[in-house]
Order: sequence, then structure tokens, then C-alpha cells
Amino acid sequence: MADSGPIGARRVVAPAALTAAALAVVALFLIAPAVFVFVQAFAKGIGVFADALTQPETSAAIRLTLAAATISVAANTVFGIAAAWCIAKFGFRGKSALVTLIDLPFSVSPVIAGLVFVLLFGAQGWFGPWLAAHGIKITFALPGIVLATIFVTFPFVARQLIPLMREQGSAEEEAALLLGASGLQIFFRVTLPNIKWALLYGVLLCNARAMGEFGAVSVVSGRIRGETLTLPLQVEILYNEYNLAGAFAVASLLVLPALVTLAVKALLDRRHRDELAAPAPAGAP
Amino acid sequence: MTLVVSGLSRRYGSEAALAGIDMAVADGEFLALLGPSGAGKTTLLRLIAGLDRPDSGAILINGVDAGALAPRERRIGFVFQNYALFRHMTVARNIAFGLSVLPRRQRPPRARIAERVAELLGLMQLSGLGDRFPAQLSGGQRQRVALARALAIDPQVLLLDEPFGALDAKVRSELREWLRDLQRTLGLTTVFVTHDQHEAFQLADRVAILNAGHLEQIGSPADLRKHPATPFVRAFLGAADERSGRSPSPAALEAIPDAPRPPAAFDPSVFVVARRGPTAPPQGSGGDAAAGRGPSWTPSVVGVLPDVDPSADLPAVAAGELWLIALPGAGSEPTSLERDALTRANIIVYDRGLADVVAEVMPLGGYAEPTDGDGLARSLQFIRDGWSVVRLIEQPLSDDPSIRFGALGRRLREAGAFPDWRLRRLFEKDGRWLCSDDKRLGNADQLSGHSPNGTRNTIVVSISEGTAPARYAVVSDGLAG
Repeated sequence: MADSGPIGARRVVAPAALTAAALAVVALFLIAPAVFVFVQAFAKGIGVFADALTQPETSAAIRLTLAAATISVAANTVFGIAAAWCIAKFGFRGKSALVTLIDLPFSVSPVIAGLVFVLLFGAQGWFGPWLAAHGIKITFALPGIVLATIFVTFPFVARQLIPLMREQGSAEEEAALLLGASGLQIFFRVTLPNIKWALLYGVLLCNARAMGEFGAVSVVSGRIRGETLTLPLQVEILYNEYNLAGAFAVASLLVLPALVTLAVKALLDRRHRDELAAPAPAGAP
Repeated sequence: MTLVVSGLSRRYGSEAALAGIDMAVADGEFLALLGPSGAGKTTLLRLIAGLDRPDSGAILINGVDAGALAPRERRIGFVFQNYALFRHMTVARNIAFGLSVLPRRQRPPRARIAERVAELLGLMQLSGLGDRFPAQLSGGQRQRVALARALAIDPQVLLLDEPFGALDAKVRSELREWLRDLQRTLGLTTVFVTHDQHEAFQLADRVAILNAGHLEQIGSPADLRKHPATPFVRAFLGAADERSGRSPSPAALEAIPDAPRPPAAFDPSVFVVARRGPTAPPQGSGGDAAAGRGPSWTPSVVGVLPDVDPSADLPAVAAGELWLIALPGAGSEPTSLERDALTRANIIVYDRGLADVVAEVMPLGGYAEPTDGDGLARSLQFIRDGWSVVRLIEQPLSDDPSIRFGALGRRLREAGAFPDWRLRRLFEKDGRWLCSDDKRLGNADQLSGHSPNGTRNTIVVSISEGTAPARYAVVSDGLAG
């Protein structure tokens, strides 16, 4: 124990310094910008803030963003669960290729993703003439925005679920099967309850990203005022027009889902800790 | 309900997990599937349940071709090795699951389901635990919940995959007898998988011995012992072959390519047959009676390991030294040095989950006994009588070797009170065994302060009184009954 002195001192100093550095980085890069957004939004008073949000263009952007996010989050929840289920519970050819594909949106620039959709479905694109002939509008309209958003946010739900479902294995599902449960009963009574918190968190992340997506959407939307502008695009346009108060007012709307996501995550973490801290089996030494 | 399996084969890639299994299980029979790891026991069980499909062959449950039935239609009660309880449901809802997923027309009313759950909880001695979650139960309780859940659907056949594998030794022996009684009472056709022949012979009406996907022999325990059909069966059952008084000949071990190989340090040519006893239990019978199992313990020597051949790296075991070897925790493989040391140990301490490794290293040993104070005292008495005892003590031990040995030192002192014994600590460093200075056993718990971090430790207890066991005996307590 004689040598515990200097080691003990180092053990206290080093973590404290690291913690302080980490906190400083977090404050500078994460907290300060969020606070700044709200400060700027209310800089010219609540009246200007309310005014900016009640502009018809802004409310159209809110509606469009909510619609696009709702559709793409719903779609990606279904896709994500299906993909995670396949990957975690079955072995098949091309499994690792599928895992890589799910990660693809992370590695491809959103702008490129948007361009691909324009090249596929745009007026000069592969399917453009056919779509035009049948009166279907994809680019510069809601369907294109939804497609681009789905592509960009595809990995969020699946990535949350795959490790968890892998770890849980399929023993419980097999048990349910032998007890006579149907496929749907197994899913809703066994699989879903086991993954619900991870799923909820994945959906929240997916939603936050879907609402905030800029690059891909900016390419496919065509930026028609009051029609195909989502909230992030609206922010950019207001900013470019030197309407700082308006831009930050709209931006503050986008910070809200992020804060909600954060709060729910903190809540979920605490909840999980409670579950983990369930009383140990009696008699354990 | 009868169960017939004919010509059942299953390949995984190029490997045949099962190669043409034929067997029939009579109504109400309790059958054990016994064999080394990888023999195809669990594969066979999963095929019967319908969790996997055979490449060829048929399964008839009560005369009906199960191949035409989906797994959920087979009405099979299955207890998984790790129970697979629904972790988000209470015990009561776990048990009720099979009834609550029935189509509405067949589903009993809610009150009737609750009644059935209460009934099963009572049968499983789990009354009052219905509102707990699986994580709040002990291993033995979880196993009984899994059994209750399987029984709730009134299954035609009960399948158990290593039902006692995850339990510690004491709980295991209690549950064994309880399960046998329950099976007899219910008269339910039951197949269970185990790699523990002791367990198989104690529980089952008949035992089917599998090896590398083949059914070597099926028969009653007495039959198998008297008339082993193949060299493999003879070698596999050799360790338990106490009645004939013969041990497997070295030639038999050599002749079978798939037999569990003795380790290098184990030289079959010096294998000695020795019998001694029956010896009266020194102090154990009273404790056993108190534990409710009756004074059934009649020790008998069932095999002898060869003399120790000191090697360059491992210190020679001096006359009258007692070796304690603590293996790493479950999940980590012992090093080759540890495996080597294992073959020389008198007392082996190992964590749950390492039974397979120990059984492999000591193919003629491999018994776990409850480690109450009596178990240790019985072993010590054997040592006093001039035997060196190979005992597998299974107990939930800490991963920290110093804590392990501290507790062991205390146990030895309390149980044996050999004040003159000396403890030496061996530890592995750079692939060699190093020795610490002698320590009095009375100070055993002080060893904790001297354990270098991150090394695996071995303790040698030298008995300065100098009894000189020439051989190591494998002691088993359960085969008498």
C-alpha cells in the first residue's frame, strides 16, 4: 500500500482533467449553438418570433416537414424492424451485403443521394418520360422529398435494433412457437416487447434526422416557395434574405425535436437502469 | 403418447449432425439422450420439436407423422437449456402464454387460465411467485417456471435440453429427483438431453447413447452396463462401470478414433485398476440426512489415475501434497499448462460452465458434488485414509483468484483443521509455473494480499505429516442408488 499515494493522486487528477475537457467541448460545440438559436430567435421580441412562425410560407413548410417525416419514419420503422429481424435471427446468403447496404446512406453524401433520385425520376431521368406520361410527379413534389428522406434515414431504426436482437437470440421466439403462438402473436407478444425501448429510441433518432434533413431534400425539392420547402430549406432561404430573426425562429422549431429526443433518451436510460437493478436472485452468494 | 423416429438424418454443410437415427419411445417412458458434445443430441431434440427440418426420415408422434404438422401444432413441451423465459412477462403470464395464444374458440376463459396457472405454480412449488419477473428468480426457480410453461399446454411429449446444465450442483441433485417423481406422477413421455451419464442413469428408464450422429446403443442403464454393444459405449461408460469392477482397457481407448482422448499427460499404459471400500462415510451421513436426502451416500472408488510423472515445467508433487487448482471462470479456456496441471490435481475447483473441459481432461473423472462443508470433510477423510481424492467442487466462485483461495483456505481450516499443512501458491508466468514460499494453512486467507494481478493461481497444500498417496482415486457418491 506504500505506493498508493502518487498513483492515487494521478488517478484523481487525470480523470478530472479529461472530464473537464470533455465538458468544455460539449459546451462549446453542442450546448452553445442550441442556446444561441433560441437567443437569436427571441432577439427582436416575442412578437417578431410569433410573426415569423405564422407566415403562410412557414406554416406550409411545417406541414410539409411533418408529412414527409411521418411517412418516412413509418416506412423506416417497418423496414428497420424487418431488416433487423432478418439479420439478427436468420442466416442467409448475402447477409453481410445487406448489413453493408443498410449502412450505405451513412457513407453516401445526402446531396448525391438526392441527385440520384433526380436522375432516376426527374424530367430528364430514366423513368421521367414514363412518369410524365402517367401524370405522376415525384421530383419537386412530396413523393421525391419522402423518397430522399427515407433513403437518408434508413439506417437509424435498423442500427438500433440489430445488436439488441442479435444479443437476445431467438430462443424466446422458438419457445413461443412451440407453445402454439402464430407468427403475428410471436411478433407482438414476444419480439416487440423485448425491443420496444430500442425501437422507440431508433424511431426518435430517425424522426429527428428526417425533420432536419437538408442536402438530399434540397436537391429533389426544387425549392418552390410555399410548396416544396421543408423547414431546413425555409431556414436557409430566410437566412439568405437576411431575415435573421425569422430564420432563427424557424430553426428553433427544429431544435425542439432534438431536445425531445434527448429528454426521452435520458428517461429511457434511467428506466433501463431500474430494470437492470432488479433484485438479484435470492441465495446468490 | 408414443414417439417413433425412423431414419432421421440432418446435415449441416458437409457435416452429418445426425446419420440415420431409429428409435422408439414408449408411452410414459423417460428416455435420456446421452453422448459427448457434438454427438447430435440437441439436433435430434430440435428435429422432434420441429425447430429444424430433417433432410430425410420421419417422426411419428402417437402414430401421426409430425412432418406434416407445423411446430405449433405438435403440442410439444420444450424446456430450453437456458429456459428462454419471456423476460418481459411475469411468471404467471409466462406459464399462461400457451393457453392465451390459443384461437378464441379453443381458449379457456380467463378465470380458468388463472386457475390452471395457480395449479401449476403449486405443482412446481412456486406458489406466491406468480407476480415476479424471471430476472428476480433463482436458477432452480426459473427452470421450474420453464417446466410449468411447457406443461400448461398439456403436451403430448416433453423434451428437455440439458435441463440441469445451468444449475449449481446442489440445486441440480435436488431438482433431479423432484423431476423424476413428477414425470412418473404425470406419466408423460419425456426425452431429455444430457452429457452427464450419472444424471442419465439416475433418471431415465432407458438411455440412448449417441456419438457423432449415430445411435450407438439404446437400453436400460443395467443393460448398457452389462452388455455394451460397441467399443465406444464400453469406453464411454467405463468410468461408471463400478459393478463389473473392470475399467476400460487401454486398448479399448486406443481403438476408438472418436472416443474422448486422454490428454498427453495421461498415459493409458500406467492405468491401474484399484478398488477399495466400500468405505463408510466418515462424517457425511448426518449432514445428508439433515438435508433430506437420507444417508444414501456410499462412496466407492470407480477408477484410478496413474502416478504422477513430474515434468520439467510443473513442480513435482511431493508425497502427501494436496493440489488445489482453480480454473478460470466460465467462458475462458484453460491454458495447456492448466490442463496439464489438472491431470495432477487432488482437488479441482471450477466454475459453472467448465464441466465439459474438466470431463475432457479427466475422462474417467468428471463428477460434481455439492460443496457443503460435508463434501469437503468427506474428501479430507479420504485423504487421511491414505487416498488422494480427485474431486470436482462446483461452486459459484469469484473471478478473482485471491478471493477464491481466501475462501478455500477458510473452508479447509474449518473442515479439516490440519494445522500443519502448508500452502504454496503456484502461479503461471511467461508459460512457466512459479512457486511462492510456504505458508501455513492457517494463514490461507492472507494469500489474497500476495496474488499478483491478472495471474491464474494454483495452491499446493503440502501435508507435512506425510501421508503418501500413491495414486489418485476418483470418488463418486451417486451410483449406489
